[in-house]
Amino acid sequence: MRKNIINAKRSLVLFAMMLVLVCSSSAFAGGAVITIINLDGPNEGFNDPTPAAPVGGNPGTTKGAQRLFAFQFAANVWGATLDSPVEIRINAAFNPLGANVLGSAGPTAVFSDFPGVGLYPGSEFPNTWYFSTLADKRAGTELHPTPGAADINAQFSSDFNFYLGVDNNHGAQNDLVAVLLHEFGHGLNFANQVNELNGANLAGQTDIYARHTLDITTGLTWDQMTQAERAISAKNFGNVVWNGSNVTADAPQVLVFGSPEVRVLTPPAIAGTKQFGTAAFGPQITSLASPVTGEIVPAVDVDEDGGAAAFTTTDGCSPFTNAAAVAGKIALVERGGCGFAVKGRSATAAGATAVIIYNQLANVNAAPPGMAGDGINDAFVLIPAVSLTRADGLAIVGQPGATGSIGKDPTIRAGADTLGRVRLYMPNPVVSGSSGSHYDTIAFRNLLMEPAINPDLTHNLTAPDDLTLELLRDVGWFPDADLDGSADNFDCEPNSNLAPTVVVGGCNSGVPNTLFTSGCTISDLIAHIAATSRNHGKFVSGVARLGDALVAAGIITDAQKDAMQSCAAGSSIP
Amino acid sequence: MRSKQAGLSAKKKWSKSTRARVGVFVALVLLCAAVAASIALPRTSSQASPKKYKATKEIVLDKTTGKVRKPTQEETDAMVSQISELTNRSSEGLNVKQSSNGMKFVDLQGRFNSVMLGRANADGTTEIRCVFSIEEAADFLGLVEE
Repeated sequence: MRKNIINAKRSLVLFAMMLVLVCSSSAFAGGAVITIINLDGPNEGFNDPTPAAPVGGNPGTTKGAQRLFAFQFAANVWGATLDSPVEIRINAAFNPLGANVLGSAGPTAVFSDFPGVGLYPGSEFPNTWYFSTLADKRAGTELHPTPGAADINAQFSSDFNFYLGVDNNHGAQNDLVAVLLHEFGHGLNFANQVNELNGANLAGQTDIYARHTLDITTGLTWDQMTQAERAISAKNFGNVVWNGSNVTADAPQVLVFGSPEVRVLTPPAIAGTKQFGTAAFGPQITSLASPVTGEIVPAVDVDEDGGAAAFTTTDGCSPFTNAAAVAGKIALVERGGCGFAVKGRSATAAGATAVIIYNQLANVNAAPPGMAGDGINDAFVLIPAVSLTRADGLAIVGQPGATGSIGKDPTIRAGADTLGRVRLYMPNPVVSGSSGSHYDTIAFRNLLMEPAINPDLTHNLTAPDDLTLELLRDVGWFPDADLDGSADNFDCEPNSNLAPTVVVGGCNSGVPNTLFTSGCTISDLIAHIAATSRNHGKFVSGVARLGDALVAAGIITDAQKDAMQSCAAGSSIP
Repeated sequence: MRSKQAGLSAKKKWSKSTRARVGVFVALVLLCAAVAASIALPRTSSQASPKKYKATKEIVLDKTTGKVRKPTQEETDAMVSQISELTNRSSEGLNVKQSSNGMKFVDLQGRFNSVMLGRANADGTTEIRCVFSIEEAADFLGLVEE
């Protein structure tokens, strides 16, 4: 990317076409300033005076001070990761929230169709919402009409005992910093603006996150869909992926091969990957050396209550009467009548290789449940157990001789599709965290932006530990180390000298340090000349040619050229 | 990214550039100050009436007994109300303001939040989950519609 003086001269005509900008008063260091605005009153929340011993790198000596330190720590992690010339303001408070509500966060405003100042690009697509944090960054200026308005609102529970250290050494406690990194991530535009229950867009137009949400069944992204299509896609488990190039490129560094899958293999009419739930007992699907495959046989047992509603001949609550048919095959039983582990024990006793438990009529529209153990029968379950929806279970029942597979697919990365695109979490029906604004829960290694805050998360936001930054890059958080508005990968000089005047070897020429649309300033061009000059004479002549080119382009005057030249001649460069 | 070689004219001097900067600033101020149009969004029925839920699982760590218990109906109602309000994704009552340069802006008025929930386990640990709707929250917390 570096230009030498010859190239600069050849680019005379180009210079004339360049946008010239006035530079800011000082060089930038990149990053983003994220400010936590303490909204708490005296003696509460961030101002809670309760003494506390410093913990895990958090030097605060009161509970309030530790909370504030953890907040600012998380903000600083993001601030060191993203680049923005506009301060990001987070209104924050600790309050007594409802039972089980630990916190909340969200954007305060959204913008679309905004222009950029100088080299800043503005919105990438028309009629597309951006959260204010990202909109400000791409505009290169504060867009909110109210001075000092916050970009993100965040409140957390003052009743909950978070781990307030910043060293990730949280043990069995819940790490506040990880939670904050997650929630701030949402506020930075790791979220859509779609009402996924009915598919409605905010104010009838799409958002930048939805533009990258791809349904691989239809081949459409969410911005290309009707409202009804979006509502269906929001429940298309396993078939909605993130199509952004940054996430896809880095996913192999993060996600391991071995996607846990439950598949019906035959007949073709019902074949495919199924949404499933796991059990707290028996061998875990992720720990199987190889998938369990074979015929799926519906189990039959006695109806313990003789036709009353509590039990059925398909619930597996008693020893199977068709054990011979089930032995060596995958057993299929219906939910209800007894605990999940009882069914698993019955299937094990019958010699099944695995057991599938599908929802009963009472849970006709429910997601496959996570199956808890009972502490009694768990130890007798020696085969893997998974759950399916009622629809999927009945489909298998209706196809005698159906075959299936339970286990890890070694050719697919956990949390990605067959093409390596990272899955978004879209179970059917809606379950906790099924917002589409999270990565799929089967991702492994675990990711910050899954619905659950898993205990093995780091505080790193990018590969090889995570894929959060990559997604934010995809929605438009381009890297810009010198904050000149030109993305680093296109920038003539990613670390521009943005001093107001051209200084050569300590000599201030007084010449305005013009920034060109290439992302280079005059100072950058002179630095590039210095870097490619073999001796002082070459350098001085190079600066002379640059000065001639700038004068010819009408960018500087002859006097300014002379001042620049004088400084170059008097310097000891190189 | 918009092309950088946009064919915009060069400025000769700092003073001209300064004037240009001032011009841009003034334009932005005017743009922001003179928000030209404000469009009230139509009412939608997606979140018109809050649902009534009851608790079915022991998910609250009782500070008095140290044991997990079900949320009381009062606690359940309060948490449902709070989560519903924070995660509201209805456009009802929101205004789209449009500037003279075409920029559109919506103040979300505290909606469109994600909510972090906790579910206490008997062993003293807490599972936490991020949700974007009351339906997701109900699934995680074991709340069922009455």
